[in-house]
Amino acid sequence: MAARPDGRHPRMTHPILLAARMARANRIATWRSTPMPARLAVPGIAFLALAGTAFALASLGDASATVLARLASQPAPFACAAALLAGVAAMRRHRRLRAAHAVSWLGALPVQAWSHRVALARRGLVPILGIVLATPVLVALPAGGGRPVAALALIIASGCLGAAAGWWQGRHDAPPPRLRDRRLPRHGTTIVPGFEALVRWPLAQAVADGDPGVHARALGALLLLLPMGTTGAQGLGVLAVGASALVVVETSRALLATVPRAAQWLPSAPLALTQWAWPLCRRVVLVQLVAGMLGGLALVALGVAPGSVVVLVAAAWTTVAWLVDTAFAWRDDMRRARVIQCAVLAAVACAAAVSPWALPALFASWAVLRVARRRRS
Amino acid sequence: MSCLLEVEGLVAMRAGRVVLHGVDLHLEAGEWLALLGPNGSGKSTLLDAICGRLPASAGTIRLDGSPVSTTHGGDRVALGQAVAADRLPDVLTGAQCLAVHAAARGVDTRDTRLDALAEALRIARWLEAPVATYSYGTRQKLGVLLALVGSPRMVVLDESFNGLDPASALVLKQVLRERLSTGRCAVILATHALDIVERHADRAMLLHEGRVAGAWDRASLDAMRDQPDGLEAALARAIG
Repeated sequence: MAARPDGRHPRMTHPILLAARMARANRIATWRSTPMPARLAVPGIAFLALAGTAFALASLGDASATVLARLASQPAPFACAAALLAGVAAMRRHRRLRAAHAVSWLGALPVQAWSHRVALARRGLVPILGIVLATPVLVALPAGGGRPVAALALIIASGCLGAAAGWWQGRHDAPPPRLRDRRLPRHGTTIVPGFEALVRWPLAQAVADGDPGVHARALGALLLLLPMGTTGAQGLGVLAVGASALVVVETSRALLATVPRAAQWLPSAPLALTQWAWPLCRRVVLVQLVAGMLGGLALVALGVAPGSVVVLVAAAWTTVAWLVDTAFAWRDDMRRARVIQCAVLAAVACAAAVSPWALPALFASWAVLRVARRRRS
Repeated sequence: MSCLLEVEGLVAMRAGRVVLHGVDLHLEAGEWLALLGPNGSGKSTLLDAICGRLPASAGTIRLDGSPVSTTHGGDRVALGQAVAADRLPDVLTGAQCLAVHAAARGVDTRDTRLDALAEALRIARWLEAPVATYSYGTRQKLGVLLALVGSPRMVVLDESFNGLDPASALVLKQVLRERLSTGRCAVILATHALDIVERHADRAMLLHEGRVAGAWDRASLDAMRDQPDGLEAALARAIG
């Protein structure tokens, strides 16, 4: 909101929202001042993403009809799963926003509690509600007539209620990180040699940041989505897939948290890329490979076509590698991300050999890398 | 002089660990209190609790007779806490940061005293540039300016003199002294710079392992200043 002529800002504008609005305006101004090719990269990627989504939706006509038929006959498990997932997302987001605000430059300002709650909800809850509304609509779009409107409405309502409940639960702090207090010397321990600490860092971060309660809810939501008559073996297979996905997600989050921190302090040491970047990533890569293989085997056991499994695993790996690559690229020299770029291209090529679906991903990866390079330059 | 800040039996925790074990502190309007202590002794935790950023597990914090709350931010209108250099938003300009703080306090962004201080600290020409382009010292100056928006009665500074060039540090000390001389506000400064404590603070308090390990008034500080090892040795003795 612009300042009034007397230089005052309206008292009703919360500083969080005012700062966010100013930051957005500054980013747009910066974007406008960039050269035309770089300026076109952002809408280009958005266009690619939209085209990919439209392509996927168009290909999902039959799948959408199958899902909608199940949804019409058994809406309750979908509704419960939507409530659980939205609740978990809202709770985590609320906690994260509160924690960020507590240490932010706006943390000590004299702002009324209700205004603060409204501002946090606008920043945190509204996007989740948007996803809760958009997902059933997007699933129902490719199907022709006969959409189960009542079931869709029930799912949206459950998602909204779950998000509200999760948001309410998020007003309490998360349990403290499960980091062991290592300040006291322990008998029989020695200093680990070389870069062993770097190797352990991302996994230790994942263990510290991971919330078993959240994982249990996510797996519970997954089980709720199983149709009636599912056998125990199938249920275990689904759980194995879910657990593998959680491992990949949590280790990726941890790696994305540690890469920028490492890039901030390690370059000051006389180290080459291979001396710190690879030790930092290698155990996570190994864990993710094992998790991906186990999840893939479980999917094959559940009857999913091996080609689709390869595409799925390659897509997941590509996403992770993109994110890590971007973290390296924005924090440090692009050359330091070459290994990861090669891994990305190998995964995309592998997926492209199995399915033409991977081609949009190939284009998108190229565009993202181009933008990252431009930002760096 | 009236008691502006009263902290009694304050217990505070961070990450499940008790950091402050029953701290008592009283500060009157017009006073400059220097908070000393080794790294990890609880200085920043105490300041965060005073500013309502951190909930007290036990004990009370009263500012001007009213309890400071972590949930009712409106009570904190009398508090101005300097923002740490690494917490400033890179994407905003200094002027925008000041505008946001002014909006939160409901005061005019055109504060002539603040403008004058910005000129004296030689940060005025930087205010239209993004914070990302600032040096560490310039960020520190902006952090201090943000603490002084709206002329709060309680100014809380956490190692805010770090990174300031000598001329700017002198200006800031003079400005704080000038504000204190009105008898309306008080300053609490966590610092390791003993020269500031010896020459400018009215009182000093030493925190060690979350407890008050020593306190000195102006007369004691003056007496120590004339001794060869002075306050430094006194701190070492108090910590053991």
